[in-house]
Amino acid sequence: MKGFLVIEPGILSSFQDLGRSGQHDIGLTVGGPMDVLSFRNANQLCSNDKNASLIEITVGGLIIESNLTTYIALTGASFPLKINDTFVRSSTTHKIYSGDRIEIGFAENGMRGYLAVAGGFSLETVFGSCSTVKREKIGGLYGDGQPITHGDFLPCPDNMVCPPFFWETNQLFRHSSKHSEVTTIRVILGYQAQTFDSTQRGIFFSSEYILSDRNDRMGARLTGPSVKSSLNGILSEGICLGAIQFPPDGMPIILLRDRQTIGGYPKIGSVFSLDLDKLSQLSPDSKVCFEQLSIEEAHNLLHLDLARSKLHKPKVNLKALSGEIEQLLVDKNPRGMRALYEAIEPGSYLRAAQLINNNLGKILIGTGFPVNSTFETDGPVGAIALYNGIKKLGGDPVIVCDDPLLSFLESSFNTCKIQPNQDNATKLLKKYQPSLIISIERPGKASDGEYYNMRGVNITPKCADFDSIVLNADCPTICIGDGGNEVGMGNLNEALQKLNINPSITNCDELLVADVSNWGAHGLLAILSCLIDQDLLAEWDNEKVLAYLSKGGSVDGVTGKNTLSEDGMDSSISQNIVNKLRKLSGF
Amino acid sequence: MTKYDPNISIAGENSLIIHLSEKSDVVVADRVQQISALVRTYLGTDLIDLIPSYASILVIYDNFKTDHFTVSKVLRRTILETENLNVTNQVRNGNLITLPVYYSLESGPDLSNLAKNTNLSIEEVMAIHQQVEYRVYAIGFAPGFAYLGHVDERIAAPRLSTPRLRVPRGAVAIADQQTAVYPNESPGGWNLIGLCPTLMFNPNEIPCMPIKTGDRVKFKAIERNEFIELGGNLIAMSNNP
Repeated sequence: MKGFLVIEPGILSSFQDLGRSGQHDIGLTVGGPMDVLSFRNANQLCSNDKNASLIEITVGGLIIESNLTTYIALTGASFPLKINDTFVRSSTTHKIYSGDRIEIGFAENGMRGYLAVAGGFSLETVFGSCSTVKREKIGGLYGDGQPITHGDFLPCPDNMVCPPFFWETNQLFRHSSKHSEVTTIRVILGYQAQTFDSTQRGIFFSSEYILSDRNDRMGARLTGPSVKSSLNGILSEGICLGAIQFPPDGMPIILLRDRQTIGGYPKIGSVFSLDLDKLSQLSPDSKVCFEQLSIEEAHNLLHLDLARSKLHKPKVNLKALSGEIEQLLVDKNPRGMRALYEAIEPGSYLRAAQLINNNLGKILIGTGFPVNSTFETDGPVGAIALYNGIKKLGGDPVIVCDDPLLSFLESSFNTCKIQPNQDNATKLLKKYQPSLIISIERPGKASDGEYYNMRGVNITPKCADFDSIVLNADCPTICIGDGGNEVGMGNLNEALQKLNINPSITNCDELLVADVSNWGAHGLLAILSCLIDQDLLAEWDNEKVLAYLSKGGSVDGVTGKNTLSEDGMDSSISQNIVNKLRKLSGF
Repeated sequence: MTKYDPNISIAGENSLIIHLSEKSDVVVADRVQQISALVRTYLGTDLIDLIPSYASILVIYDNFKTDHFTVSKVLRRTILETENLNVTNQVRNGNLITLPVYYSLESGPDLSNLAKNTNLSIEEVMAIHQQVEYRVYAIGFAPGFAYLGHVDERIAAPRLSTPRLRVPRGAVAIADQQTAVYPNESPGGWNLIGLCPTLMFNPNEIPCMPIKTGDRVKFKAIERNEFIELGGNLIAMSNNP
């Protein structure tokens, strides 16, 4: 079974989802997160369902150990968070590997944290929810209302369908609980408010109250000036979340997530739900004061809050996303690209995407790898994808290649023929004044100045010189390759020695590697999509593009056959990669 | 019965409460049941939860789907509809359940105070509590916490001025004219007069409670040894003076 082992449960750590509803008539309370905002943020950071179960950590001290690869996020109060003895940030997504130890210290500010895992914890529900209600002996890991304890095993989904978006939220803990500060809690007056005369109400709304240490998930007890209602004993009746009731001693109790559903103490009103989040982060001895709010204002504020939360959706952590894309694209590893990926500084796809986004103008895209007397599918597919993407961004792309690919593409795309030598390269650069040059699966010169294919065969007579264009350009250059013999691979001289090929020595500004060069183009477009918040891969139909190239006589670079495949892999495999990339980038 | 104008009022940002009467009786209790069922149907998925009690119904709605203007209209219409139907005497002939109680000073820490304040002997308090056949008016406060009415006025003691943080499971208690058995350990402000060994709430069983709203309940005194035999335990009480 996959999941986390509990090394230390901390002061109080319990499973919560949004709670139980529709069960009040048999006396079941709602349960659920004390700080709903932080609960939502944690699940959002892990791309979870909004009701996914996570761990509510009160005060802190939870230590767990993973036996799976997944993602976590911690939100809420400010806790020191360590992964394997390294301090990491809260309110962002972290990748966790099997054997990793996650350690949550004690809250420096606030009371409660929310630890979410991608896909949510896999728990049985009781009356439709896994929320732990200790008083009711319901919910949690064993369904008996017990909080998380030593040695518990916290199960997680085995197969995570989709990795999270790598959100990052700047909506840090919104509320400070320094003792000198007074927190304002807004109250909607209820039907028994009139039973507190104007003097009593005046006392309540003008005094400071102190949160006592007798507080739990059921209720917050306050001390301060005593307030009395004219009612003595009422028929027990339903109580809503946040109700402020006054027992005969006149000290207010605010009823919280694990509240009783029925009671007989008079109530002045109930706390506005957004302020319950604040209240749940206050430590004992914090000062609060109360302010009136009409139900209409409350309704309005809630809807504004929802609208605002949609506007300010958390930002994607682009560097983490880039890392995920880089890893995904070398996962199959047919030509040893994983070793090259490890030699490249992480974030290459992000840096390359930024180069494109910052240098939109005339962009030359070189491609075309000769196979026999024709061209292979890997390269042109990616070049077309980049061409379309750059056009959507407002750039002016030109595909630079040689015959026979050139004469096939020129009727549908802006194209340019590669000239045979360096002088012509300079002329071409002068003519186009490119803002950026991209090379995708273009053969690159080896140390002897000749061109070789993956089998070590000298193919120099068929190869026009794109290397000189890349080397002589005074604009940034991005190269994509999947074997080691392509333009740009010169960046990785050392790492290439390990591969049994004749490597290219031509270097570039940003080198991207992938199992199939075309995939590198898709990866770049995925990150670009995030940068501009527009799905550049939405309309991509891999098979359609392959069918188009097939008419021009394309062949698979591995099999040499005119099929709808790239490097021996069926078109559907590439389409799957595109689909995964879209999910990763949040579309 | 004097005509009481049903009252719909604001309880919280997404809750309205209907009060049907100032007093609780069997007729009002039936009306509560009837209106609750209709409100569930009329509000459908706009309803989050509903808490019927003696003479009131708390309606919790989804304020991202509707608002208090709309919901109060629905509630007003429902109340009128049930008035027009003029259904009053549908008293449900619920089951009669007898619950055993170990009344004593060790199991009922408020027994002696209650006797003193009501000028009765402890034995009289016990006897009066057993005389009445109670009706289950509402379930709430905690899962399986059944509000039983009505307690004889002679022993109808008010709630404690400061609630206890812990009341043990099985505690038999009185608050005004209500009595109940605490189904689980919880905080509580009622006067504790004894302990009942019967499990009042078990989420793993169907039904999860031995009684339901509308049932009738009688209490029957048992001795200490019977209480222990029936699975009761006194440790929780002795830990919580």
